[in-house]
Amino acid sequence: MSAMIEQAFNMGQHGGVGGQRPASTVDDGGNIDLDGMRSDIENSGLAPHVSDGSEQAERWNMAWNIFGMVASQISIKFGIAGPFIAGFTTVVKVGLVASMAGLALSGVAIATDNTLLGFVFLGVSAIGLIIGAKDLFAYDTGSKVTGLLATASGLIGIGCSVQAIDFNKMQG
Amino acid sequence: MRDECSYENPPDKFSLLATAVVVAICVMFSLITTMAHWKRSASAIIMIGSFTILYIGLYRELVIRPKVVRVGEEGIHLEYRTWKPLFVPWNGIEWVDSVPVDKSTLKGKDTVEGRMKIRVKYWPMQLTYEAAHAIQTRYAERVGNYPPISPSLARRRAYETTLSAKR
Repeated sequence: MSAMIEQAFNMGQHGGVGGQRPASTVDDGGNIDLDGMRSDIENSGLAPHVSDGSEQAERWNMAWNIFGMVASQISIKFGIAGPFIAGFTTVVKVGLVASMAGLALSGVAIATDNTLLGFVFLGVSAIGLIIGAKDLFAYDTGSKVTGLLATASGLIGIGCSVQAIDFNKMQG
Repeated sequence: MRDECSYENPPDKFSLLATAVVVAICVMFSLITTMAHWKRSASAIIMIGSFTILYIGLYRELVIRPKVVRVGEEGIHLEYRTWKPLFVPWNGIEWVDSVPVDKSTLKGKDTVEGRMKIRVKYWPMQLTYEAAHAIQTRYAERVGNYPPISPSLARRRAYETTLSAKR
């Protein structure tokens, strides 16, 4: 029986990427190797431990990139069209567009793994964040949500930009 | 001599709800990035920023927004939830905005209906339309002219005038 279970695991029916599975899940005495199973599940990509360079990890990262691209499209369109339609003041237009664009394009910086782009969009997001945060108190737009959106998207843009910047590479 | 008029100035529910939704989205984004093994600094920036936005939202609606506005003959009395009451004479008012809105529409709920900036505070405070309009009217009666409107509202009205002239 134990031999059959072991054979099933080794045939890859329990997930796992070829070559990364532990050699045995059930030892000769019929005891289940829990550490081996845990490692097996982690390597399968089912758990969110995806920084191991496996095929599942690549797919996971690709999903993040697609998410970034879709968010980019929506954010850019909303960020540019929204303020002009509503007729906000120039400063708020700059803030909201900067914030949304910073958020959207920092996704591109992550996808392309480009530190320089990360820095540029970190600055763009920061400008949007500052203007948006001021609007949170001053209501310069006469709108209650605009400042919130600019601040939140600027904030996430900064987070994404920090993710895109490889500080270790910069230190040599 | 007219009596002192009192106006309740409750926190804006739409503003509080919008703040809660935006903060929830940011916190969820931060948690997802943590699960996806992003850099801790990136996730932490988003998480800390989210709670800062929440703090600002609550501070704006509950602390700097007066609970009750009393419009008197010599000025206005402001009662806060956490601060000491404040008397503002007519010459202490920098500007007042009042915009009538239809609260049944989303645009109306999102529009700031009343704002006032006084000289002793850095940030303007949010008011109900009734309170802001009453302040403007009494100011005009006592001072002889309406109080100035905010620079941002003046720019916006100029922009709208330009748009309507083009049409």
